[in-house]
Amino acid sequence: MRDLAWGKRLNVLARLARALPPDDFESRLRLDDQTGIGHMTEQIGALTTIFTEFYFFLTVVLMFFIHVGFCMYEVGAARTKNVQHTLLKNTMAIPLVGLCFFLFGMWIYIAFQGWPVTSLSLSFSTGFEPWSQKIAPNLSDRISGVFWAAFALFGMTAASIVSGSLIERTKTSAFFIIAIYVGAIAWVVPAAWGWAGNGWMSQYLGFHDQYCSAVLHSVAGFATLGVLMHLGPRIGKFAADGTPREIPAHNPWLVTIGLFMIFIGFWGFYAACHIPIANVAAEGATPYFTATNIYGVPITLSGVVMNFSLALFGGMVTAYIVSKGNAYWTYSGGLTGLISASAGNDFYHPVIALVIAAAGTVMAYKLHYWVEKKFKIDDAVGAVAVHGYCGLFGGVVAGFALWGYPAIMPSAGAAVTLGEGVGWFGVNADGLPIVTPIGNIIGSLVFALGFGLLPGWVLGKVLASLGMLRVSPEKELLGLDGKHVPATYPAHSGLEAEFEAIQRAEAKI
Amino acid sequence: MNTGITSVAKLADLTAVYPFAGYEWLFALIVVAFTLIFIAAQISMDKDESAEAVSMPIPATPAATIAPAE
Repeated sequence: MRDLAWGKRLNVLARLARALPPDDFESRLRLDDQTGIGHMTEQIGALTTIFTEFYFFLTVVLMFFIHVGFCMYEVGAARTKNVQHTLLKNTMAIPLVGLCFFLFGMWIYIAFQGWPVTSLSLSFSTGFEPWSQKIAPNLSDRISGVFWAAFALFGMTAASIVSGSLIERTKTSAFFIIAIYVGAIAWVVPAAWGWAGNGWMSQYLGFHDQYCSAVLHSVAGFATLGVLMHLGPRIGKFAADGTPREIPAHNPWLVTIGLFMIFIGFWGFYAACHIPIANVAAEGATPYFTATNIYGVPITLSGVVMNFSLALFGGMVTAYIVSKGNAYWTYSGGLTGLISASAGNDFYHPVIALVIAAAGTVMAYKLHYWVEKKFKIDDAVGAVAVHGYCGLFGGVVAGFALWGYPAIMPSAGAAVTLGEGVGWFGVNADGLPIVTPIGNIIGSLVFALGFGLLPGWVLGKVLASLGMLRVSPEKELLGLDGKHVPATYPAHSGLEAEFEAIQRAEAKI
Repeated sequence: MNTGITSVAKLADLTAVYPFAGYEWLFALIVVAFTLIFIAAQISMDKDESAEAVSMPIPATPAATIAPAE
Protein backbone atom coordinates (compact mmCIF):
# COMPACT_ATOMS: atom_id res chain seq x y z
CA MET A 1 0.00 0.00 0.00
CA ARG A 2 1.58 3.23 -1.09
CA ASP A 3 -1.18 5.71 -0.47
CA LEU A 4 0.92 8.75 0.27
CA ALA A 5 -1.91 11.25 0.51
CA TRP A 6 -0.18 13.57 2.93
CA GLY A 7 3.25 13.00 1.54
CA LYS A 8 2.08 13.71 -2.01
CA ARG A 9 0.25 16.80 -0.89
CA LEU A 10 3.28 18.09 0.92
CA ASN A 11 5.55 17.22 -1.97
CA VAL A 12 3.34 19.13 -4.36
CA LEU A 13 3.16 22.11 -2.05
CA ALA A 14 6.87 22.16 -1.54
CA ARG A 15 7.68 21.81 -5.22
CA LEU A 16 5.27 24.52 -6.22
CA ALA A 17 6.60 26.82 -3.57
CA ARG A 18 10.20 26.39 -4.42
CA ALA A 19 9.98 25.43 -8.10
CA LEU A 20 12.77 22.96 -7.62
CA PRO A 21 13.36 20.11 -10.04
CA PRO A 22 12.32 16.77 -8.49
CA ASP A 23 15.83 15.46 -8.02
CA ASP A 24 16.98 18.55 -6.17
CA PHE A 25 13.86 18.40 -4.05
CA GLU A 26 14.32 14.76 -3.10
CA SER A 27 17.90 15.35 -2.16
CA ARG A 28 16.86 18.05 0.24
CA LEU A 29 14.31 15.98 2.11
CA ARG A 30 15.41 15.83 5.70
CA LEU A 31 12.78 14.61 8.13
CA ASP A 32 15.00 12.90 10.62
CA ASP A 33 13.18 13.90 13.79
CA GLN A 34 9.98 15.40 15.10
CA THR A 35 11.43 18.26 17.06
CA GLY A 36 11.56 20.72 14.25
CA ILE A 37 15.08 21.79 15.13
CA GLY A 38 16.88 22.89 12.05
CA HIS A 39 13.97 22.24 9.70
CA MET A 40 12.32 25.59 9.55
CA THR A 41 14.25 26.55 6.43
CA GLU A 42 13.00 23.53 4.46
CA GLN A 43 9.49 23.70 3.13
CA ILE A 44 8.43 20.15 3.89
CA GLY A 45 10.20 20.06 7.21
CA ALA A 46 8.56 23.31 8.23
CA LEU A 47 5.12 22.11 7.13
CA THR A 48 5.54 18.88 9.06
CA THR A 49 6.72 20.69 12.16
CA ILE A 50 4.00 23.31 12.12
CA PHE A 51 1.30 20.75 11.38
CA THR A 52 2.49 18.60 14.28
CA GLU A 53 2.72 21.63 16.55
CA PHE A 54 -0.83 22.71 15.70
CA TYR A 55 -2.19 19.15 15.86
CA PHE A 56 -1.01 18.60 19.42
CA PHE A 57 -2.19 22.08 20.41
CA LEU A 58 -5.72 21.16 19.32
CA THR A 59 -5.61 17.82 21.13
CA VAL A 60 -4.81 19.67 24.33
CA VAL A 61 -7.84 21.91 23.88
CA LEU A 62 -10.07 18.91 23.22
CA MET A 63 -8.67 16.96 26.14
CA PHE A 64 -9.56 19.77 28.50
CA PHE A 65 -13.14 18.68 27.97
CA ILE A 66 -12.33 15.48 29.82
CA HIS A 67 -11.56 17.48 32.91
CA VAL A 68 -14.62 19.67 32.53
CA GLY A 69 -16.63 16.50 32.08
CA PHE A 70 -15.23 14.86 35.19
CA CYS A 71 -15.99 18.00 37.19
CA MET A 72 -19.60 18.08 35.98
CA TYR A 73 -20.03 14.37 36.47
CA GLU A 74 -18.74 14.37 40.03
CA VAL A 75 -20.65 17.47 41.01
CA GLY A 76 -23.83 15.95 39.64
CA ALA A 77 -23.18 12.73 41.54
CA ALA A 78 -22.47 14.51 44.83
CA ARG A 79 -25.16 15.59 47.26
CA THR A 80 -25.92 19.30 47.58
CA LYS A 81 -23.94 19.63 50.81
CA ASN A 82 -20.77 18.46 49.07
CA VAL A 83 -21.05 20.21 45.71
CA GLN A 84 -18.45 22.97 46.13
CA HIS A 85 -15.91 20.72 47.76
CA THR A 86 -16.31 18.12 45.04
CA LEU A 87 -15.92 20.73 42.34
CA LEU A 88 -12.85 22.40 43.81
CA LYS A 89 -11.15 19.16 44.70
CA ASN A 90 -11.28 18.03 41.11
CA THR A 91 -10.61 21.45 39.63
CA MET A 92 -7.45 21.97 41.66
CA ALA A 93 -6.06 18.71 40.31
CA ILE A 94 -5.50 20.66 37.09
CA PRO A 95 -2.83 23.05 38.42
CA LEU A 96 -1.51 20.55 40.94
CA VAL A 97 -0.80 17.75 38.47
CA GLY A 98 0.22 20.32 35.87
CA LEU A 99 2.86 21.80 38.18
CA CYS A 100 4.15 18.35 39.06
CA PHE A 101 4.31 17.50 35.40
CA PHE A 102 6.36 20.63 34.87
CA LEU A 103 8.69 19.67 37.70
CA PHE A 104 9.18 15.97 37.05
CA GLY A 105 6.32 14.17 35.25
CA MET A 106 7.47 14.69 31.71
CA TRP A 107 11.07 14.07 32.67
CA ILE A 108 10.05 10.65 34.02
CA TYR A 109 8.43 9.75 30.70
CA ILE A 110 11.57 10.45 28.71
CA ALA A 111 14.22 9.40 31.23
CA PHE A 112 12.70 6.07 32.24
CA GLN A 113 12.11 4.56 28.79
CA GLY A 114 15.09 2.22 28.98
CA TRP A 115 15.49 2.03 32.74
CA PRO A 116 16.21 -0.47 34.28
CA VAL A 117 16.54 -2.98 31.42
CA THR A 118 18.59 -1.30 28.74
CA SER A 119 20.15 1.31 30.98
CA LEU A 120 20.61 1.77 34.71
CA SER A 121 21.30 5.48 34.45
CA LEU A 122 18.79 8.27 34.14
CA SER A 123 19.43 11.22 31.90
CA PHE A 124 19.06 14.75 33.20
CA SER A 125 19.34 16.27 29.77
CA THR A 126 16.06 15.07 28.27
CA GLY A 127 14.92 18.59 27.50
CA PHE A 128 12.00 18.23 29.94
CA GLU A 129 13.75 19.09 33.18
CA PRO A 130 12.13 22.16 34.73
CA TRP A 131 15.29 24.12 33.99
CA SER A 132 15.27 23.19 30.30
CA GLN A 133 15.12 25.99 27.74
CA LYS A 134 13.02 23.79 25.44
CA ILE A 135 9.79 24.04 27.43
CA ALA A 136 9.59 27.80 26.98
CA PRO A 137 9.35 30.18 24.05
CA ASN A 138 12.26 28.97 21.98
CA LEU A 139 12.54 29.30 18.22
CA SER A 140 14.72 26.21 17.97
CA ASP A 141 12.05 23.93 19.46
CA ARG A 142 8.38 24.10 18.50
CA ILE A 143 7.12 20.74 19.67
CA SER A 144 8.27 20.07 23.22
CA GLY A 145 5.77 22.43 24.86
CA VAL A 146 2.67 21.14 23.09
CA PHE A 147 3.89 17.59 23.61
CA TRP A 148 4.33 18.37 27.31
CA ALA A 149 0.82 19.82 27.50
CA ALA A 150 -0.72 16.71 25.93
CA PHE A 151 1.01 14.55 28.52
CA ALA A 152 0.09 16.87 31.36
CA LEU A 153 -3.55 16.58 30.31
CA PHE A 154 -3.23 12.79 30.39
CA GLY A 155 -1.93 13.15 33.95
CA MET A 156 -4.78 15.41 35.03
CA THR A 157 -7.23 12.90 33.59
CA ALA A 158 -5.59 10.09 35.56
CA ALA A 159 -5.97 12.08 38.78
CA SER A 160 -9.58 12.86 37.91
CA ILE A 161 -10.32 9.17 37.59
CA VAL A 162 -9.46 8.77 41.28
CA SER A 163 -11.27 11.90 42.33
CA GLY A 164 -14.83 10.81 41.64
CA SER A 165 -14.65 7.59 43.62
CA LEU A 166 -13.54 9.37 46.78
CA ILE A 167 -16.15 12.10 46.92
CA GLU A 168 -18.11 13.15 50.00
CA ARG A 169 -15.68 11.91 52.68
CA THR A 170 -12.07 12.49 51.61
CA LYS A 171 -9.84 15.30 52.82
CA THR A 172 -8.70 17.50 49.97
CA SER A 173 -5.05 17.34 51.03
CA ALA A 174 -5.19 13.54 50.96
CA PHE A 175 -6.61 13.64 47.47
CA PHE A 176 -3.85 16.06 46.45
CA ILE A 177 -1.15 13.63 47.57
CA ILE A 178 -2.89 10.75 45.81
CA ALA A 179 -3.36 12.92 42.72
CA ILE A 180 0.34 13.76 42.55
CA TYR A 181 1.20 10.07 42.67
CA VAL A 182 -1.42 8.89 40.18
CA GLY A 183 -1.28 11.91 37.86
CA ALA A 184 2.44 12.58 37.65
CA ILE A 185 4.16 9.30 38.57
CA ALA A 186 2.01 6.16 38.62
CA TRP A 187 0.99 6.06 34.98
CA VAL A 188 4.06 7.89 33.66
CA VAL A 189 6.55 5.12 34.39
CA PRO A 190 4.31 2.53 32.66
CA ALA A 191 3.97 4.96 29.76
CA ALA A 192 7.74 5.27 29.52
CA TRP A 193 8.12 1.49 29.54
CA GLY A 194 5.18 0.40 27.43
CA TRP A 195 3.75 3.43 25.67
CA ALA A 196 6.76 4.66 23.75
CA GLY A 197 8.38 3.11 20.74
CA ASN A 198 11.69 3.13 22.58
CA GLY A 199 10.25 1.87 25.86
CA TRP A 200 11.83 -1.36 27.04
CA MET A 201 8.49 -3.15 27.43
CA SER A 202 7.45 -2.18 23.91
CA GLN A 203 10.70 -3.50 22.52
CA TYR A 204 11.36 -6.55 24.72
CA LEU A 205 7.84 -7.69 25.67
CA GLY A 206 6.20 -6.50 22.46
CA PHE A 207 3.74 -4.71 24.72
CA HIS A 208 1.01 -2.90 22.83
CA ASP A 209 -1.46 -0.47 24.38
CA GLN A 210 -2.08 2.30 21.91
CA TYR A 211 -4.76 4.29 23.74
CA CYS A 212 -3.62 3.51 27.28
CA SER A 213 -6.13 0.92 28.50
CA ALA A 214 -3.60 -0.61 30.88
CA VAL A 215 -0.97 2.12 30.92
CA LEU A 216 -3.26 4.83 32.28
CA HIS A 217 -6.80 3.62 32.96
CA SER A 218 -5.95 0.40 34.78
CA VAL A 219 -3.28 2.14 36.86
CA ALA A 220 -5.61 4.94 37.96
CA GLY A 221 -8.55 2.58 38.49
CA PHE A 222 -6.64 0.08 40.59
CA ALA A 223 -4.87 2.80 42.57
CA THR A 224 -8.36 4.06 43.39
CA LEU A 225 -9.36 0.61 44.58
CA GLY A 226 -6.31 0.48 46.85
CA VAL A 227 -7.19 3.82 48.42
CA LEU A 228 -10.88 2.91 48.77
CA MET A 229 -9.94 -0.14 50.85
CA HIS A 230 -8.72 2.20 53.58
CA LEU A 231 -11.08 5.08 53.00
CA GLY A 232 -14.22 3.09 53.66
CA PRO A 233 -17.76 3.74 52.48
CA ARG A 234 -19.77 6.88 53.05
CA ILE A 235 -21.81 6.72 56.25
CA GLY A 236 -25.04 4.90 55.46
CA LYS A 237 -23.91 3.45 52.15
CA PHE A 238 -24.36 -0.10 53.44
CA ALA A 239 -27.21 -1.42 55.55
CA ALA A 240 -26.45 -3.44 58.67
CA ASP A 241 -26.84 -6.66 56.66
CA GLY A 242 -24.35 -5.39 54.10
CA THR A 243 -26.84 -4.50 51.41
CA PRO A 244 -25.58 -1.49 49.43
CA ARG A 245 -27.89 1.51 49.29
CA GLU A 246 -28.22 3.82 46.32
CA ILE A 247 -27.10 7.38 47.12
CA PRO A 248 -28.94 9.45 44.53
CA ALA A 249 -27.12 11.93 42.31
CA HIS A 250 -28.23 15.45 43.19
CA ASN A 251 -28.24 16.52 39.55
CA PRO A 252 -28.49 13.84 36.85
CA TRP A 253 -28.31 16.47 34.11
CA LEU A 254 -24.81 17.44 35.15
CA VAL A 255 -23.90 13.77 35.15
CA THR A 256 -25.21 13.56 31.59
CA ILE A 257 -23.37 16.64 30.38
CA GLY A 258 -20.23 15.54 32.15
CA LEU A 259 -20.11 12.15 30.52
CA PHE A 260 -20.84 13.60 27.10
CA MET A 261 -17.94 16.00 27.60
CA ILE A 262 -15.71 13.11 28.56
CA PHE A 263 -16.68 11.44 25.28
CA ILE A 264 -15.69 14.64 23.45
CA GLY A 265 -12.42 14.78 25.30
CA PHE A 266 -11.72 11.18 24.43
CA TRP A 267 -11.61 12.13 20.76
CA GLY A 268 -8.81 14.50 21.65
CA PHE A 269 -7.17 11.88 23.84
CA TYR A 270 -7.14 9.42 20.95
CA ALA A 271 -5.75 12.07 18.62
CA ALA A 272 -3.00 12.93 21.09
CA CYS A 273 -1.81 9.33 21.05
CA HIS A 274 -0.63 9.61 17.44
CA ILE A 275 2.35 10.98 15.65
CA PRO A 276 0.24 12.88 13.11
CA ILE A 277 2.77 12.89 10.28
CA ALA A 278 6.13 11.25 9.87
CA ASN A 279 8.26 9.85 7.12
CA VAL A 280 8.68 6.24 8.22
CA ALA A 281 10.68 5.09 5.19
CA ALA A 282 14.17 3.77 5.72
CA GLU A 283 16.99 6.17 5.03
CA GLY A 284 17.49 6.59 1.31
CA ALA A 285 14.18 4.90 0.42
CA THR A 286 11.22 6.64 -1.18
CA PRO A 287 9.58 8.77 1.51
CA TYR A 288 6.44 7.30 3.07
CA PHE A 289 4.51 9.90 5.00
CA THR A 290 1.84 8.66 7.34
CA ALA A 291 0.26 9.06 10.72
CA THR A 292 1.64 6.47 13.12
CA ASN A 293 0.68 5.05 16.44
CA ILE A 294 2.83 5.80 19.48
CA TYR A 295 5.11 2.92 18.48
CA GLY A 296 5.90 4.38 15.06
CA VAL A 297 3.75 1.85 13.17
CA PRO A 298 1.67 3.36 10.33
CA ILE A 299 -2.05 3.77 11.03
CA THR A 300 -4.93 5.60 9.43
CA LEU A 301 -7.07 8.09 11.30
CA SER A 302 -9.91 6.71 9.22
CA GLY A 303 -9.57 3.30 10.84
CA VAL A 304 -9.15 4.83 14.28
CA VAL A 305 -12.33 6.88 13.93
CA MET A 306 -14.28 3.80 12.93
CA ASN A 307 -12.96 1.77 15.84
CA PHE A 308 -13.55 4.59 18.31
CA SER A 309 -17.14 4.92 17.14
CA LEU A 310 -17.99 1.22 17.16
CA ALA A 311 -16.39 0.72 20.58
CA LEU A 312 -18.46 3.61 21.90
CA PHE A 313 -21.63 2.19 20.36
CA GLY A 314 -20.89 -1.31 21.62
CA GLY A 315 -20.33 -0.12 25.16
CA MET A 316 -23.38 2.11 25.31
CA VAL A 317 -25.80 -0.44 23.85
CA THR A 318 -24.48 -3.25 26.02
CA ALA A 319 -24.64 -1.16 29.18
CA TYR A 320 -28.16 -0.05 28.28
CA ILE A 321 -29.25 -3.66 27.90
CA VAL A 322 -27.40 -5.19 30.82
CA SER A 323 -28.43 -2.43 33.23
CA LYS A 324 -31.99 -2.51 31.91
CA GLY A 325 -31.94 1.11 30.85
CA ASN A 326 -30.12 2.60 33.83
CA ALA A 327 -29.06 6.06 32.63
CA TYR A 328 -25.89 6.21 34.73
CA TRP A 329 -24.63 2.89 33.40
CA THR A 330 -25.67 3.63 29.84
CA TYR A 331 -23.49 6.73 29.77
CA SER A 332 -20.68 4.99 31.61
CA GLY A 333 -21.02 2.20 29.07
CA GLY A 334 -19.57 4.51 26.44
CA LEU A 335 -16.44 4.69 28.54
CA THR A 336 -16.31 1.00 29.45
CA GLY A 337 -16.57 0.19 25.76
CA LEU A 338 -13.90 2.64 24.73
CA ILE A 339 -11.46 1.72 27.48
CA SER A 340 -11.90 -2.00 26.87
CA ALA A 341 -11.05 -1.60 23.20
CA SER A 342 -8.50 1.19 23.48
CA ALA A 343 -5.36 -0.94 23.78
CA GLY A 344 -5.73 -2.21 20.23
CA ASN A 345 -8.09 0.30 18.66
CA ASP A 346 -5.42 1.35 16.20
CA PHE A 347 -5.57 -2.03 14.44
CA TYR A 348 -8.84 -3.79 15.34
CA HIS A 349 -11.61 -4.16 12.83
CA PRO A 350 -14.48 -1.93 13.99
CA VAL A 351 -16.64 -4.97 14.70
CA ILE A 352 -13.87 -6.54 16.77
CA ALA A 353 -13.73 -3.26 18.68
CA LEU A 354 -17.49 -3.47 19.21
CA VAL A 355 -17.35 -7.05 20.46
CA ILE A 356 -14.48 -6.31 22.86
CA ALA A 357 -16.30 -3.21 24.06
CA ALA A 358 -19.46 -5.22 24.72
CA ALA A 359 -17.59 -7.96 26.56
CA GLY A 360 -15.67 -5.48 28.70
CA THR A 361 -18.85 -3.63 29.57
CA VAL A 362 -20.64 -6.77 30.81
CA MET A 363 -17.57 -7.72 32.83
CA ALA A 364 -17.26 -4.25 34.40
CA TYR A 365 -20.97 -4.07 35.28
CA LYS A 366 -21.06 -7.48 36.93
CA LEU A 367 -17.73 -7.08 38.69
CA HIS A 368 -18.62 -3.64 40.07
CA TYR A 369 -21.66 -4.92 41.94
CA TRP A 370 -19.95 -8.13 43.03
CA VAL A 371 -16.99 -6.25 44.55
CA GLU A 372 -19.27 -3.64 46.08
CA LYS A 373 -21.36 -6.24 47.87
CA LYS A 374 -18.59 -8.67 48.73
CA PHE A 375 -15.96 -6.22 49.98
CA LYS A 376 -18.12 -3.18 50.90
CA ILE A 377 -16.25 -0.94 48.51
CA ASP A 378 -18.06 2.37 48.01
CA ASP A 379 -16.93 3.60 44.61
CA ALA A 380 -19.18 6.64 44.18
CA VAL A 381 -18.86 6.87 40.40
CA GLY A 382 -17.82 3.37 39.39
CA ALA A 383 -14.32 4.48 38.39
CA VAL A 384 -12.68 1.26 39.52
CA ALA A 385 -14.92 -0.75 37.21
CA VAL A 386 -14.89 1.64 34.28
CA HIS A 387 -11.17 2.41 34.30
CA GLY A 388 -9.57 -0.30 36.39
CA TYR A 389 -11.29 -3.51 35.30
CA CYS A 390 -11.84 -2.39 31.71
CA GLY A 391 -8.30 -1.04 31.44
CA LEU A 392 -6.78 -4.33 32.56
CA PHE A 393 -9.19 -6.30 30.39
CA GLY A 394 -8.35 -4.15 27.38
CA GLY A 395 -4.61 -4.56 27.84
CA VAL A 396 -4.85 -8.33 28.13
CA VAL A 397 -7.27 -8.77 25.23
CA ALA A 398 -5.09 -6.73 22.86
CA GLY A 399 -2.30 -9.27 23.33
CA PHE A 400 -4.53 -12.01 21.96
CA ALA A 401 -6.32 -10.01 19.28
CA LEU A 402 -3.12 -8.49 17.84
CA TRP A 403 -0.94 -11.57 18.32
CA GLY A 404 1.93 -11.48 15.82
CA TYR A 405 1.59 -7.86 14.77
CA PRO A 406 4.86 -5.86 14.81
CA ALA A 407 4.94 -4.06 18.14
CA ILE A 408 7.17 -1.24 16.95
CA MET A 409 8.49 0.12 13.69
CA PRO A 410 11.85 1.82 13.84
CA SER A 411 12.32 4.92 11.70
CA ALA A 412 14.06 8.24 11.95
CA GLY A 413 10.80 10.03 11.20
CA ALA A 414 9.02 8.52 14.20
CA ALA A 415 12.20 8.71 16.30
CA VAL A 416 11.98 5.00 17.15
CA THR A 417 15.19 2.97 17.21
CA LEU A 418 15.48 -0.79 17.50
CA GLY A 419 17.33 -2.05 20.57
CA GLU A 420 19.62 -5.06 20.91
CA GLY A 421 18.00 -8.47 21.46
CA VAL A 422 14.44 -7.21 21.34
CA GLY A 423 11.37 -9.44 21.24
CA TRP A 424 11.76 -11.83 24.17
CA PHE A 425 8.51 -13.51 23.17
CA GLY A 426 9.07 -13.49 19.45
CA VAL A 427 10.18 -11.45 16.48
CA ASN A 428 8.88 -11.33 12.93
CA ALA A 429 10.84 -11.95 9.74
CA ASP A 430 12.07 -8.35 9.80
CA GLY A 431 13.52 -8.77 13.27
CA LEU A 432 10.86 -6.61 14.90
CA PRO A 433 9.29 -7.59 18.25
CA ILE A 434 5.75 -8.88 17.95
CA VAL A 435 2.66 -8.45 20.09
CA THR A 436 1.94 -11.58 22.14
CA PRO A 437 -0.60 -12.52 24.82
CA ILE A 438 2.13 -13.16 27.39
CA GLY A 439 3.81 -9.82 26.73
CA ASN A 440 0.58 -7.91 27.16
CA ILE A 441 -0.54 -9.97 30.17
CA ILE A 442 2.73 -9.30 31.99
CA GLY A 443 2.72 -5.61 31.14
CA SER A 444 -0.92 -5.08 32.04
CA LEU A 445 -0.63 -6.88 35.38
CA VAL A 446 2.56 -5.04 36.32
CA PHE A 447 0.86 -1.73 35.62
CA ALA A 448 -2.52 -2.44 37.23
CA LEU A 449 -1.16 -4.13 40.33
CA GLY A 450 2.41 -2.87 40.66
CA PHE A 451 1.74 0.77 39.87
CA GLY A 452 -1.97 0.89 40.74
CA LEU A 453 -3.37 -1.38 43.42
CA LEU A 454 -0.31 -1.92 45.62
CA PRO A 455 0.93 1.69 45.84
CA GLY A 456 -2.67 2.90 46.15
CA TRP A 457 -3.19 0.53 49.07
CA VAL A 458 0.06 1.66 50.74
CA LEU A 459 -0.73 5.33 50.16
CA GLY A 460 -4.22 4.87 51.58
CA LYS A 461 -2.84 3.02 54.59
CA VAL A 462 -0.23 5.70 55.34
CA LEU A 463 -2.67 8.58 54.94
CA ALA A 464 -5.29 6.79 57.06
CA SER A 465 -2.82 6.02 59.83
CA LEU A 466 -1.76 9.68 59.91
CA GLY A 467 -5.39 10.75 60.14
CA MET A 468 -5.09 12.58 56.82
CA LEU A 469 -7.35 10.48 54.62
CA ARG A 470 -10.91 10.90 55.81
CA VAL A 471 -12.91 13.75 57.30
CA SER A 472 -14.55 13.36 60.69
CA PRO A 473 -18.07 11.90 60.89
CA GLU A 474 -19.28 15.34 62.05
CA LYS A 475 -17.87 16.95 58.94
CA GLU A 476 -19.31 14.21 56.72
CA LEU A 477 -22.78 14.72 58.16
CA LEU A 478 -22.52 18.49 58.02
CA GLY A 479 -21.32 18.29 54.44
CA LEU A 480 -17.85 18.94 53.13
CA ASP A 481 -18.94 22.41 52.04
CA GLY A 482 -19.36 23.28 55.72
CA LYS A 483 -20.53 26.84 56.20
CA HIS A 484 -20.74 27.29 52.44
CA VAL A 485 -23.55 24.75 52.03
CA PRO A 486 -26.33 27.37 51.85
CA ALA A 487 -24.50 29.30 49.13
CA THR A 488 -24.62 26.44 46.60
CA TYR A 489 -28.32 26.78 45.91
CA PRO A 490 -29.31 30.10 47.53
CA ALA A 491 -32.84 29.94 46.16
CA HIS A 492 -33.43 26.79 48.18
CA SER A 493 -31.47 27.64 51.30
CA GLY A 494 -33.23 30.98 51.80
CA LEU A 495 -30.17 33.12 51.16
CA GLU A 496 -31.67 34.53 47.99
CA ALA A 497 -34.92 35.40 49.73
CA GLU A 498 -32.99 37.12 52.53
CA PHE A 499 -31.17 39.36 50.09
CA GLU A 500 -34.36 39.94 48.11
CA ALA A 501 -35.97 41.28 51.27
CA ILE A 502 -33.05 43.65 51.86
CA GLN A 503 -33.13 44.85 48.26
CA ARG A 504 -36.84 45.57 48.40
CA ALA A 505 -36.49 47.40 51.68
CA GLU A 506 -33.71 49.60 50.34
CA ALA A 507 -35.06 50.22 46.85
CA LYS A 508 -36.06 53.84 46.26
CA ILE A 509 -38.90 53.50 43.79
CA MET B 1 13.67 43.42 32.36
CA ASN B 2 15.28 42.61 29.05
CA THR B 3 15.27 39.59 26.78
CA GLY B 4 18.66 40.53 25.46
CA ILE B 5 17.25 40.16 21.98
CA THR B 6 17.15 43.40 20.07
CA SER B 7 17.01 42.12 16.51
CA VAL B 8 15.20 39.41 14.61
CA ALA B 9 17.33 39.78 11.52
CA LYS B 10 19.05 36.40 11.98
CA LEU B 11 16.11 34.11 12.78
CA ALA B 12 18.10 30.92 12.39
CA ASP B 13 20.32 31.96 15.28
CA LEU B 14 17.48 32.72 17.69
CA THR B 15 16.69 30.19 20.41
CA ALA B 16 15.31 31.22 23.81
CA VAL B 17 13.39 34.47 23.44
CA TYR B 18 12.18 35.11 26.99
CA PRO B 19 13.54 37.46 29.64
CA PHE B 20 16.23 36.24 32.04
CA ALA B 21 17.27 33.29 29.87
CA GLY B 22 19.98 31.45 31.75
CA TYR B 23 18.17 31.71 35.09
CA GLU B 24 16.02 28.63 34.50
CA TRP B 25 17.31 27.04 37.72
CA LEU B 26 15.79 29.95 39.60
CA PHE B 27 12.51 29.57 37.74
CA ALA B 28 12.47 25.89 38.68
CA LEU B 29 12.99 26.76 42.36
CA ILE B 30 10.12 29.23 42.20
CA VAL B 31 7.81 26.47 40.89
CA VAL B 32 8.98 24.06 43.60
CA ALA B 33 8.28 26.66 46.30
CA PHE B 34 4.93 27.61 44.75
CA THR B 35 3.82 23.96 44.64
CA LEU B 36 4.90 23.25 48.20
CA ILE B 37 3.14 26.36 49.48
CA PHE B 38 0.01 25.26 47.63
CA ILE B 39 0.04 21.83 49.28
CA ALA B 40 0.92 23.19 52.73
CA ALA B 41 -1.87 25.74 52.48
CA GLN B 42 -4.34 22.99 51.60
CA ILE B 43 -3.29 20.87 54.59
CA SER B 44 -3.72 23.91 56.82
CA MET B 45 -7.16 24.66 55.33
CA ASP B 46 -8.23 21.06 55.94
CA LYS B 47 -7.23 21.34 59.60
CA ASP B 48 -9.15 24.60 60.01
CA GLU B 49 -12.24 23.16 58.37
CA SER B 50 -12.12 20.04 60.53
CA ALA B 51 -11.96 22.16 63.66
CA GLU B 52 -14.79 24.32 62.37
CA ALA B 53 -16.95 21.30 61.62
CA VAL B 54 -16.66 20.06 65.19
CA SER B 55 -17.93 23.38 66.51
CA MET B 56 -20.78 23.73 64.01
CA PRO B 57 -24.14 22.20 64.89
CA ILE B 58 -25.29 19.55 62.45
CA PRO B 59 -28.58 20.80 61.02
CA ALA B 60 -31.71 18.77 61.49
CA THR B 61 -32.62 16.45 58.66
CA PRO B 62 -33.63 18.79 55.86
CA ALA B 63 -37.23 18.72 54.78
CA ALA B 64 -37.93 17.41 51.31
CA THR B 65 -37.74 20.21 48.79
CA ILE B 66 -37.86 20.51 45.07
CA ALA B 67 -34.56 19.24 43.70
CA PRO B 68 -32.21 22.03 42.65
CA ALA B 69 -32.04 20.58 39.17
CA GLU B 70 -35.73 21.21 38.74
